Amino acid sequence: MNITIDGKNLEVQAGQTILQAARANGIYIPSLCYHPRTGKAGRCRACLVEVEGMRGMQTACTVAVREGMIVNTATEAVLAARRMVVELLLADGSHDCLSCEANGACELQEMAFRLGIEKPSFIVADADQTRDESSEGIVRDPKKCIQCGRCVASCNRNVMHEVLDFGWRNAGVKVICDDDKPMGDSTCVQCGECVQICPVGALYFKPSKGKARQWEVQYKQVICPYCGVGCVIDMAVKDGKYMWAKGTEDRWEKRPNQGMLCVKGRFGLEFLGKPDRLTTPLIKRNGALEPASWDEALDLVAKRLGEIKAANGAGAIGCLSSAKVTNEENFAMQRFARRVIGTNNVDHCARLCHASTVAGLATTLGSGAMTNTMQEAAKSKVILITGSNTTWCHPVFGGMIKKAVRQNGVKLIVIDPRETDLAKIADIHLRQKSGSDVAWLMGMQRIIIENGWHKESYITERCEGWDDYRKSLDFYTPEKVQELSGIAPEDLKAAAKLYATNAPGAIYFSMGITQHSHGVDNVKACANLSLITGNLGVEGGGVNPLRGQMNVQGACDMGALPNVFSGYQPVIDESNRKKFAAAWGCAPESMDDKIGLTVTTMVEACGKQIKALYIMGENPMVSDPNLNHVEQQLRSLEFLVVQDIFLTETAQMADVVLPAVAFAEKTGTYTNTERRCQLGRTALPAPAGARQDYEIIADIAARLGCADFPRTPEALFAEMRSLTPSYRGMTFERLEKECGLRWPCPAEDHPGTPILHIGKFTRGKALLSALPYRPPAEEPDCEYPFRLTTGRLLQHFHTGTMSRRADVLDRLVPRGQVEINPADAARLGIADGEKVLVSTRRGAVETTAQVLDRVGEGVLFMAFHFAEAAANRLTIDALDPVAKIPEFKVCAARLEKTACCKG
Amino acid sequence: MDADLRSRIEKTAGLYPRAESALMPALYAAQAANGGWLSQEVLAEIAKMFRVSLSRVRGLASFYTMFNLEPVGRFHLQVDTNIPAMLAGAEETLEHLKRRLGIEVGQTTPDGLFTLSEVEDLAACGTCPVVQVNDRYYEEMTPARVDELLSSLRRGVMPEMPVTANWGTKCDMLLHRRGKPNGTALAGYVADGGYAALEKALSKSPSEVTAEVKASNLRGRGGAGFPTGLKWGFLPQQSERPVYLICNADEGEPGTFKDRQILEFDPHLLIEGMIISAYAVGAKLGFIYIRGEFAEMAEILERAIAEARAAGKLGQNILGRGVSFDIVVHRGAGSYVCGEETALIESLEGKRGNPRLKPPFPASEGLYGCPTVVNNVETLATVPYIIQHGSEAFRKIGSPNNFGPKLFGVSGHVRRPGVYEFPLGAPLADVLAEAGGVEGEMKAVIVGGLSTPILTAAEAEGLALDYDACQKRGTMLGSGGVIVMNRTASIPRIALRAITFYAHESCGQCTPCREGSRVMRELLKRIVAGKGTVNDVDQVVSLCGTIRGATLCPGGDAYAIPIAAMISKFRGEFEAMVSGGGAKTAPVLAARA
Repeated sequence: MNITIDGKNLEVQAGQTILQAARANGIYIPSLCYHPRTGKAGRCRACLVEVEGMRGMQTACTVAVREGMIVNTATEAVLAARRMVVELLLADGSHDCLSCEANGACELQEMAFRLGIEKPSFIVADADQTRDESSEGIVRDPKKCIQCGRCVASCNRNVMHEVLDFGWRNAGVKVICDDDKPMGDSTCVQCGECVQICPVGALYFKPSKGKARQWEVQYKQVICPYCGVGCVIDMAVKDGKYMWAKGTEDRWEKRPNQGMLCVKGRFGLEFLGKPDRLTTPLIKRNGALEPASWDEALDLVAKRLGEIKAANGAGAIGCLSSAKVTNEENFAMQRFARRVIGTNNVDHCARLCHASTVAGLATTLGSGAMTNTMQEAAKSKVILITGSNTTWCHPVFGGMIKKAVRQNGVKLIVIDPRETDLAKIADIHLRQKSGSDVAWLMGMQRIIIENGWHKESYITERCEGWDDYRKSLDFYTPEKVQELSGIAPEDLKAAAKLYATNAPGAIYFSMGITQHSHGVDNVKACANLSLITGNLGVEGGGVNPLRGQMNVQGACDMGALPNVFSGYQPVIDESNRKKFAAAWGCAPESMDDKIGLTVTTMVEACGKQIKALYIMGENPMVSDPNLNHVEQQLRSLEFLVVQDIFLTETAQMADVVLPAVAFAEKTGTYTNTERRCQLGRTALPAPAGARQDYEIIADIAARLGCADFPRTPEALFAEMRSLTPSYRGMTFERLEKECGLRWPCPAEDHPGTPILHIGKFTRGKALLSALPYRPPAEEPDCEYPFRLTTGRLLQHFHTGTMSRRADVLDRLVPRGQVEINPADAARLGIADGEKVLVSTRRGAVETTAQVLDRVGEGVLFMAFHFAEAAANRLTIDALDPVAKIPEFKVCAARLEKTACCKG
Repeated sequence: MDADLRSRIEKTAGLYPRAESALMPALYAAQAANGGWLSQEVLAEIAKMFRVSLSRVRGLASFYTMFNLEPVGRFHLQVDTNIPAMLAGAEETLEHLKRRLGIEVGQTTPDGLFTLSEVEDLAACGTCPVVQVNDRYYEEMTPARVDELLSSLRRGVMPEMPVTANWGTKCDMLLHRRGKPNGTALAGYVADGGYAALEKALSKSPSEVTAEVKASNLRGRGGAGFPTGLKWGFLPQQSERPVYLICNADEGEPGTFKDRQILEFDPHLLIEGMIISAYAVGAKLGFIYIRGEFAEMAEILERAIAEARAAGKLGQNILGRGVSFDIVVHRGAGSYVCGEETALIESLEGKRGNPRLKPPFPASEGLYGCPTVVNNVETLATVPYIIQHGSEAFRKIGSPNNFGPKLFGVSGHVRRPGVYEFPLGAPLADVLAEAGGVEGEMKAVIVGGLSTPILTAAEAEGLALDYDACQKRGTMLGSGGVIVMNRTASIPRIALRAITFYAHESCGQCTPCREGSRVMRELLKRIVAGKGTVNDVDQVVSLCGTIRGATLCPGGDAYAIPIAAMISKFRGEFEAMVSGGGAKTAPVLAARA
């Protein structure tokens, strides 16, 4: 439609406000409280304009455009009102721009400049308010606050942490944290959204204070290196150094994170500039790692790998790829293993997390990935979350689920042994015994079918395996389920009813389902539940594994797996081997035709079949189960090469260490948990001496006789997509233009695929799985009476290589603890904060007790981020027979005070 | 919070469609059970119970004056020092209390017995000075009566202290049962012909009832004078969402104390009016949002509601006609802005009393986002007459386009301050005469509550008190709160007290009101203290001009217009107060014409 602003005729869209229409057309109307991500507020009154036919003045941010509307933004009355708003905000005399962090990007300063206001016309002093510097990452300066309400709106309606609100009244109104506590004493998780959205300098980042002026930085778009949400970050870079981070607001509605970040994306990128970045290759001589030249190091690697291959065969070498490097680099690593070494012994850390998913969903649905998208949370009528502490491990997405519950009336069921944040707001929270998931999942299905809540026609048309499946449910009576899981029959029925009688329903799961010795069964049980309720192939439904690492989905997609090439094309299939051999310029017979070893079986085979490991961006010395054993195993290798950005615990054991660059220092693509491939471009230079992972691999390949190994991301991507139907339609240009693409994307005009299995499954009909009950490998007994479960924290990531080197994260959580229930603590006479020894049959770790009822009685929880108190010294390496994933989530442990001794 | 308190809160929450609406009642209950104040621990428990954030609960509790976030003495003495009280000697009462107790405002006596506070208008303008002790009003508080009160309180007894409370009626409609024994009881009401209008209404269709009210041209008595039937007509014809009827009993406009007459002395009149109105608009649930200070009146309402329910006039299947309607009494907690309908609705939803942006209007998106009608007490109390006697009869009362009876609260410098019922359009002179006439010579008068422009005595000559006549005279009838000032009144001091009130009550959302009211107050403080300049006076006028029309809610106009009027009409008094009378500098902000 057409409207007129200041005499200019403009074409605008229906539904826009005057302010939005003006901005879209480059017309200046100031506003301090409206923000596209928090919506209209009408509080600041800076956007007042005159509209012909409407009495008085109107706020441009609240009035929708109408055909033929005539707007005047610069009449005398409007300008007087605008001046008044600025004068009144400046009137308390406390807005000093000189050293303000917001100088140059301050919306109040901008307004004053436009109005020609050089200093306040009248000063009427207000009560003094001190700065709040109590939190690790954020400083609040209430004297600069203009009470616009954006931070409150964002905290309560977008990131959903619900920490901030307005307190008090009249001119005494101020933003408060929790019960008006200092931010550092509140429940604030330091996501930093309030700082990002503040129009003035009332909130700023502590770590970067004084380091750069707003106009000295360039913003470069990168993909967050932490979790599988794949937040798009605008990294502020000055003189090639990282300054601070914002969630990108460039086309924010289309991004997985909608402009938001978590504390790790916000404050966790500092590791990039830490002085202990690896900058020179290291070679172990006489038991110590010594600096060497690149040529020396690469020559040695090629020599040793060549020797070991010649002596023992290609199968003696294993390659560990990385969920932290690009798709191109993952493709390069599996190409290296297969083309250059001639082995399928290539794997990566997905083995430790979602191997069950990939196997389980590939079998039942035909495709092992998240079936729906993160954006659909609000479209579900019911969400069931199990085995995922979403607000800690996929924080921005956890917030979206919370938002869907709070704002869209979505019902929430959480089945978790611990009272997670989402459990607190769930309609139903049930605490099950770790390891009993098949029982309660199948038990729910039995109840659903018994009550006729299942979708018969969907099952008939789209599923197979009903008879065996139905029979297998007989075992899971409510009483049996209670015996195995601890869940009471009435509770199980309530959960079953809530899930089955609300459509569409989505299931989200993560490690609590996958990291078991029967993890594949767990995944299949989830698929069963979704299938019988007709929730696959529909918007708002799905079976949705939340992938942990920012590129673990990509690493799998790229074929850094022992059984498939890229795109999950099986290696045992001769036509696949032929295709790849042709592309790689080698004879098909030279390609390994057997499924290779996994991360976990490679570790087992160290010193036996496996003589050498080439590890890129992985830290098994902290991430694998039963670390004492892992250490032993790695020591039995003849040759270990580690390529990484810091000297990790694993690198310390290597014969050769190769310094690589980090995510922000490379260009390439990454695929997040919802199959969305996004492009990240180099944002700043790597430390001198470090090299691109793909270059290092190509150099080693060249030394091993493969001179035509692709050497650039573009070349690798081009080759990959020519061989991988699901990525074929993607190009770097498309990825940038369309904010990423979800596979399958088979052609360059294909828009990508948000929802899988619409109409038919990848395997045709889905398979309903008959599942027997198999208990965890090791359950509590008299000697080890606790059920130990492990997992992650919000503030740290995995082995802590990056997150523990970020000062804010390190200060927020400097060391590990063990969660213990108050009743158990009381029985053992253990106080909160006391030093304790946790031991299992595999090892012992000294740590500190954290007494709280987040864990139930008889349960202990430890995060695995802390190498010096590594939870994985305790965990058991019992593996799922198909997926080979370890049972990180259950083993038997005991806990005692450290002062008290054995014997 | 013990189990009994928890279960009481849970029970209250069950009365509301959304549990969060019970946050304010929960705070009251918790406060009462915990020595009269709310500690951090109690607030945290409430947050947990209602599953809302800590900051939401603290934000809620700190918005409203009547929630004590610090300990208070056993007897909380709250002295109304707003303008009607000021004119009746409240400052003297306050000083007297300070001397007797030996403490300043905001302090507690060392023995923990008394806390002294200054509060805003308690709607006791005709019986000032007034001191609220905990939940009870003590009116006509001369120093002697103060001493009587204190000595009783020192013995731990809240005494009975009867008041004179002048009143009169020329219409015998809204004040019909005033002065009758047992006037608030159902039996008395029915014997007097009460609930007959309800019978009649239920024998018509809802649209017929609405048509009758439309035809009567009843204008809203809350202050805006907007035709009630027209307002009801804004509700959607068909609605899947429930319709709510809310009675605005927040009566906070200084100078206004008319609604309390009905609440206190004729609750069934209001209840009947609500039931009929609810029937007309299709509401199954209604609320009476009553200001927190009216605790005693809330109890009277609750008793009357219980009586009405027991007699089948309220609740399920009213009078056996298959119509259902029930009423929840919801107490405010000390916030003038909650008299604004959208702020009231926010408050009813368990939130801070922040006015909302309009559009959307309550008729389409009100309480819980559902179609809602908010009507004043007096408006609803007028409905039974219209239904019983018909719109024709109603239109015989009052003046053209301004029909029906009106309660006028007269306060300030008159001999018999009180509430007087006259037909709309009655001459101001007659109303003042009924109130015993002016004490001394009239200097100025405010006819519609503090938020209407002041009139000089000359301007008030021959004024008829109806909506249209007042508007023609450059002011507004508003709530009909008549505040009379004689020659002893200092207009600058009144202006300062006025802006102090508005600045205190500002919700704080929008820049012009939040900062503007603060700045204006400080400037007027300087002026009244003799430390101001002529520039300061001009600055105040300038701010009035730009604040007007720029705020989120009409609250800004509510003081910007009256204070500008006070200064322009009594400029000399302001200029006399400034020091040195220095050179007049141009104001920074352009004043609006």
